[in-house]
Amino acid sequence: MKRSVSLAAIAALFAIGAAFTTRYQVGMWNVDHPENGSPGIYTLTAAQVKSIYCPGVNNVECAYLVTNPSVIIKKP
Amino acid sequence: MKKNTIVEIIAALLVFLFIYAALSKLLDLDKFKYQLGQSPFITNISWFAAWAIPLGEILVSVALLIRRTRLAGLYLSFFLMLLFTGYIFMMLRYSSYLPCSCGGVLSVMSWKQHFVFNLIFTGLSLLGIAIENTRTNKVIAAMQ
Repeated sequence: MKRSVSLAAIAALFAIGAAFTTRYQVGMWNVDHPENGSPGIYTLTAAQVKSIYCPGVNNVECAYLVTNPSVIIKKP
Repeated sequence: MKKNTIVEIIAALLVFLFIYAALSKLLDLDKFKYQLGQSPFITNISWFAAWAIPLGEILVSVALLIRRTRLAGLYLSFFLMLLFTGYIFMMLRYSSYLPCSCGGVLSVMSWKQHFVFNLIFTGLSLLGIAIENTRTNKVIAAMQ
């Protein structure tokens, strides 16, 4: 009985770790008008961008910078 | 493999799935609310669903973690997975566009992959219920 509880508990701990790891996973984003620097492909973490979807298009992911919502960025 | 071990593995897999999905949603609640708001079927209740879905997933996980409530947790998992699978089926069949409302790495899957993934976990919940029910009935019979 103890083993069954611990196996599920271990799974829960792994899930918590995985969720936080995904949150800080880096991704390549194409920033059109960055606040500092020139337009180009930048590496940002999931916590730095807010994903949205381009209006009217399926499965095309857009995002904006958390620090400046007016900066729309796209996956390269 | 012992039937008890199979239920343990199924419960662990479901706990991992639900905790991971719930936390991914809660860590980016604004994004999740926005995505649910885009869904043609639940736009009107998106605010409520954005809180209810991850909290429900955590509640089911707690039920699965406690040995005494595991059977109830498996029933709830089956119900939840059936609900998600039905939602994806409706989206694939009737929606004109497909906004993704999934959390973490699950959002990388296509809707069809997600549908199959959900079907597998629905089947696992059902298998867990069947095994756990048999085991519980045996225990009750032994007590009588």
